[in-house]
Amino acid sequence: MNTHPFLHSSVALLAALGVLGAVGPATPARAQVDTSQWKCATCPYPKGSSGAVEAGAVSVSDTSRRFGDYTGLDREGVRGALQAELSHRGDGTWVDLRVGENFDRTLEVRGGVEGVVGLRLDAMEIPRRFGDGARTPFTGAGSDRLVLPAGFAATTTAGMPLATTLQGIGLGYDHRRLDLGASAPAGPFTVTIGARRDVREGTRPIAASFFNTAAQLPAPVDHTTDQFEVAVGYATRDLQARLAWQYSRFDNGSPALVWDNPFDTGAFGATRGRIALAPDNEFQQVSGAAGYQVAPAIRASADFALGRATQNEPLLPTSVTAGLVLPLPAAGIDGRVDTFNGNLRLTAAVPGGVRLVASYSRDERNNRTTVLAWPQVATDLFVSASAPVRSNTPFDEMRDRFRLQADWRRGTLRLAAGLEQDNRTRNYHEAVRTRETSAYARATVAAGEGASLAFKLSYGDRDHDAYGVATWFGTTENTLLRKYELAQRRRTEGSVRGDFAIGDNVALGATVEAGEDEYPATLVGLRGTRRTSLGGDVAWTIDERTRLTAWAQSEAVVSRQAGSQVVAAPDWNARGRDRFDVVGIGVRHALIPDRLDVGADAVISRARSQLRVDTGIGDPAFPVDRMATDTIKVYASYKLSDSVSLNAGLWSERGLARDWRLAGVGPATLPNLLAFGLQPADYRVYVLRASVRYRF
Amino acid sequence: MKIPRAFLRALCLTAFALVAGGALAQQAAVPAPQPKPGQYSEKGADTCLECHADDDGVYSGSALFRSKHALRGDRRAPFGAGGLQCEACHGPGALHARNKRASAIIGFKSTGKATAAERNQICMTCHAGGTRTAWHAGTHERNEVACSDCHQVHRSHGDPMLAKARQNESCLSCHKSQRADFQKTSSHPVRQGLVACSDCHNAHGAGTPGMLARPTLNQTCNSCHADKRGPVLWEHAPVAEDCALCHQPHGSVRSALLVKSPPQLCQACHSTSGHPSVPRTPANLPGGAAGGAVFTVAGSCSNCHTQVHGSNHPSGAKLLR
Repeated sequence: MNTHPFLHSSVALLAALGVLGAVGPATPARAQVDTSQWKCATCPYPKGSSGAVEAGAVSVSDTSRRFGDYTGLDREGVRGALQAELSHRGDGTWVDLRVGENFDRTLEVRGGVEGVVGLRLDAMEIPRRFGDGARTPFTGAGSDRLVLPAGFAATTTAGMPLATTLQGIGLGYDHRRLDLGASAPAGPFTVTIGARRDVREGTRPIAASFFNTAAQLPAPVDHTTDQFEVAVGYATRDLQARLAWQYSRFDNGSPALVWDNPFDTGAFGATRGRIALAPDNEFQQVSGAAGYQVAPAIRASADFALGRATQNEPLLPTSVTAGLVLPLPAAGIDGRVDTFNGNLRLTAAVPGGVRLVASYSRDERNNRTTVLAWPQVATDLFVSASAPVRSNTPFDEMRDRFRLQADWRRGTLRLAAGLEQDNRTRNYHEAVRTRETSAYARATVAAGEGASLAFKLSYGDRDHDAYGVATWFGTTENTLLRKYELAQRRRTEGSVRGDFAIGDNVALGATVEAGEDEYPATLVGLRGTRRTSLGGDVAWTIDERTRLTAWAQSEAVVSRQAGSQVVAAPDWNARGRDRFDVVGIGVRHALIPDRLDVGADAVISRARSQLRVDTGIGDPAFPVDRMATDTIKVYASYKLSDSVSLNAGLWSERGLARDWRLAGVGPATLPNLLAFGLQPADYRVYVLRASVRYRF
Repeated sequence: MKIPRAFLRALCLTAFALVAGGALAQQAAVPAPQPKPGQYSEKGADTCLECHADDDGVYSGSALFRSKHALRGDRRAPFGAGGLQCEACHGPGALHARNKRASAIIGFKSTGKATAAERNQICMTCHAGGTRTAWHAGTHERNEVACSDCHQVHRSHGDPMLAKARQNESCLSCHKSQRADFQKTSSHPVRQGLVACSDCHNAHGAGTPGMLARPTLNQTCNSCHADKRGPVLWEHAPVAEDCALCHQPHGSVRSALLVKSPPQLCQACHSTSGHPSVPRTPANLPGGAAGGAVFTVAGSCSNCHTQVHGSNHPSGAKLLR
């Protein structure tokens, strides 16, 4: 990777900017003020330690993995709860600590020596839980080897001894993060270092097949990602710059999963399968940024990032089935992707109240992985007849974006307009080049005190060069297919937003948004999408003791696509309609001023999706998918004294889903799919919390 | 790797434009506050605290002294040696101390006299670097969002933007459609306070659409989802290009943040002969007349093609292994 020309150019530019800074107009110097008598004698600096600790118990009424996703409250029972905020101020040192902001598993520590070093530590745990009702006959979940008990394999799921072998399995993993950082100033420079470790452990659902049979499998999650960053920043009044180096390494403790085949493959003899899981990889990046205040009304900034992702893990054999291990052209792919990202921005305020913004961006992804011919074994069964050898396709992309925007304000009227061109070049794609030109206009009117209306309209038109055939693909695509990231597209969007204040106590807001994507040249593929959204909110300070907030949003999305089962002119189409409505209400009230505060929050949401696939014979629509979630939280805080308060809260959540993709699909419902039997969400959980808070 | 010539040319043109435009723009500058000797208070913060030591549970004059702005040992801070204390941000305060009028000093309320640009200029006197280098060209600046619209240094419980769990509430008070998105069937754990808007976005301005924290969307996603980063032997083209081709990061009514469910999601790009181009109707549901339920229920296409993010298996060209 030849970085020297760019770095030399950047240094030259920065030097030029520095010269400009020396000879050009300077921002006004600070007045010399005699602060020798400014003793800050009455400044209420905290001394010593202070804070609050809140300890109590949390009771969860029911077991629900769906409810436990992200909350960690997936099991019925009682557990302890701790929340704390601590501060310590010493002689030139400081520490702030926060534990369990929302009684969750988080820790934040900030501290340092004043003017010398600042330190931070963050730790958190994010629990992931993938639904309820999963069952599997496999043993060894969480490991890289899944074993079936005696009695397997069978030609269909009906013949499997599932009645005696199925066991419940909790699919999910815990994601733990530890993030450390330090920064130290040195004159106009600041040195920053950071290190972060993410660990994910547990299982996640995947699936794998043997030609025409498949099984859902619990894949092991044993991921560790380490990231480091070192950066030097420079800042003066007019010039700021930063140079950084980042390194990231991903480690997978389980690079492959082997499982017993629950289906009898007869003469093929494929009693096991092996699937590759995410390989270890590394990423390094050097990045820099600079900004310069050329004049009081001109500012320029630029940034760049040069990155390299690599991966060269030992490859698995072509198959785990004896007799299908074919020679490979290389032991590893020696994969390498070079990236370049650069941005240039210039803003200037010109006479007449107009402000101009011009920017240019270049993003490149260059996959340097060698192209080789790889023998293909079809799902550990046989050498692929249609494509016994395939060459890999390292994808490259280059993107140039040019933007010019203008803002103008006069009194209560503000106008804005912009033009953008987005050019992309890709390899191994049906269309090598796409170009999209977009324009927008926006008007904001301040209508009196506390009221404003904003209107925005935008239009984008994308085209491509010749749309051909991706010959690298194993099987030729329908020549009438247009992939939606390449296809001609017209995008229209508009929005109206109003904000109003009624006196000092009431704030209202309303938004209407609509957008449409049309693919005029697409006969097969995505043909169009239409979106509409309505929203409103109100914040009402009823009196000094009571505050009410409410908001609502309704969104609808309709999409159309066409297909062809004869790989020619379209002979079927699909229309999807999604609707999402959500209402939120919150109230806070000082029931007994300075003694008892109460509050409640409720969020009610309804999602509805319907799909109709029409093959011309009057096919009915699929059943409607629904997701209803009702969340109510009430809480109270009673102040016993200046130091002690009693807190209680109740969280009620009801979740009910209808999803035809899951409903009634048990492990043996399909003859050729051994499924987990995950069912749509259906839970009602109450979480009761009681705690004592002590402030010191 | 060659550095793009187009980029270098643009760099040179930018430098030329800076020199040529400097003189023109001087006339249209936002005038910086011009302190004059004698307009500062007699005793600095001690003058201000005669009136502003209150604490009403939201605004707190004393809360500042628990924050970094008040560090006495840090020369960069307003309360460091030689600093102008309260008047570093609020401007000369002698007149305000005499007449007690809000109009006699720089205030940071959105309803105050100072424009967003004027308020921001004060903050940028010290905070122009770091993640704010591109603030001048960012969407927030262009929409006249002031630093103090989000950051509240005088708040009793500290600046909410610095705490992950409370930052999101501030962002979502304006970004209301995203507030609704995080309530959908699948989403990032933003409403649970475990992921902050700033984990993905640089609200201070960035060159990417959506003002992302990293140079591209994929790099932003891969900073947490490094298992998808690759490179791998068999790449899936939309994965290499843009995660948002298949996922809606803020929230989706579908599982896994998908913009559509399979098979329709996959059939929007795959229409070869055989099963990829076959329409799936309710007749393909379990017990239906057409059979083929494996293409429709449970994971649909991913019942077999589970390696949608790419595969490093030698026989994984069809993302089956």
